[in-house]
Amino acid sequence: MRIRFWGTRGSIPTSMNADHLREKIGAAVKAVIEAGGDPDSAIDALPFNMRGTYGGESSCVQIETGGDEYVVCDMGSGARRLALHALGKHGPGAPQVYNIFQSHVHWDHIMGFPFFIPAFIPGNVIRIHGCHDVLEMAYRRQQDNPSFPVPFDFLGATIEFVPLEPDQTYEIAGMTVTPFRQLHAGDSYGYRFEKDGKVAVYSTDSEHKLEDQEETDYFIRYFRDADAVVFDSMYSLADATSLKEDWGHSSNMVGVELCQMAGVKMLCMFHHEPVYSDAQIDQVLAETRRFEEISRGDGPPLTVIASYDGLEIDL
Amino acid sequence: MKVTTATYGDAIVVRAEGRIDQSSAGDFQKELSGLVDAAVGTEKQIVVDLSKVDYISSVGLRALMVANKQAKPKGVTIRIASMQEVVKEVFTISHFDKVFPTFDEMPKALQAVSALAAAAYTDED
Repeated sequence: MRIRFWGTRGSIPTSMNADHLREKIGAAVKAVIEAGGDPDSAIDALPFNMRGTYGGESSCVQIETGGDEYVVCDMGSGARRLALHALGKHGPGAPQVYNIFQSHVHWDHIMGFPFFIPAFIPGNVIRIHGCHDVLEMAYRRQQDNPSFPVPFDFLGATIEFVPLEPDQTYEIAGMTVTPFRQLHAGDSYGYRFEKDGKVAVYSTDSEHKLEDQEETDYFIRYFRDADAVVFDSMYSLADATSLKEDWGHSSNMVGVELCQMAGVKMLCMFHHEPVYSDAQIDQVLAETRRFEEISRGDGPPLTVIASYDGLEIDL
Repeated sequence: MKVTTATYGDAIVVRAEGRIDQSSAGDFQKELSGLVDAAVGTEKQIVVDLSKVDYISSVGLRALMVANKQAKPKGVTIRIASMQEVVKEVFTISHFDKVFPTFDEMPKALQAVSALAAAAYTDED
């Protein structure tokens, strides 16, 4: 099983401006000169925030299991790059089946669909799975006049909306998929994907407080022994419990605690705060790893990573 | 976890002991809430002594935040004193150090409340 991250930012896409890029290049050049020796090795040794970027596309994550059909969580702006990748791989004349699993229909999770080129191509089949009864309405509405010039009915692919029920298990695209209800305005749904003994959980846009044991146990059940959990860790705990309480997102610390309680192997921090620079996300990652050490106790270590646009993880 | 309280002049000092986590945060929150209620209208301030707390989880920190939300609009300040290194790290990681005034030593925290509180503490301890 492989997880490919096409969009990892929360709430709204973002990008570096010229000043941010110059600052990044300046810091990298200075560090490489100071290091001396082979430039390529010196670049490889730089911290990620200097040699790379977390990117700025909103939520879109692909789960690959070796099957023919695509499995994709959310259609945020990252879906555009996924589309380009798929077309580059197969060409426009080779019809594909895309299974989309929708966490919820807030704009940052559907905004990539009008730019998802496979939707325009006859022969492709796109099945949009979700637990919200407003799923189809939300997809259609964002392409309605005056918001977008191409109406939904113009799309050439066969597009189906597939209602799912939380806590029910389905066999889709050769995988076992179980949606579960999360804590977000208007509800959001996480998905547990299982195949050949590997488990990936997609859990974004959920505000976990861990105060209610019954509620916590519900999530532990779906996170249990996962190889990787893609987790909305948008805020610091201070923000999540004060200014941004009840905004529907969790903190890095709660992500660590929940994954530790569930025996998860890897926490993939996701839905990054759009105001954070690459350096700030690096800092949050370092702090989260330290918190994992502090809070681990006698339990096994939990690997903590910060997902970025373009990251691929093999489980 | 054990919680005791003492009053030094116009400072109410809350001393917690042990771990503040899932199993104890509820009691900790109730204790703090009662003390905030007691402080309102009296010009008393609250200092939480964490010198004997060896770990605080997110739920424990949330209890502090709930108390702070209750206290602040009513003019009661909650200060944090004498954190062990690990607890101090958790405060930094959580950004709670940006929300609460923190002090390495109890006398400094009490001095920040008032000279009266600091003097009363010196006399007793």
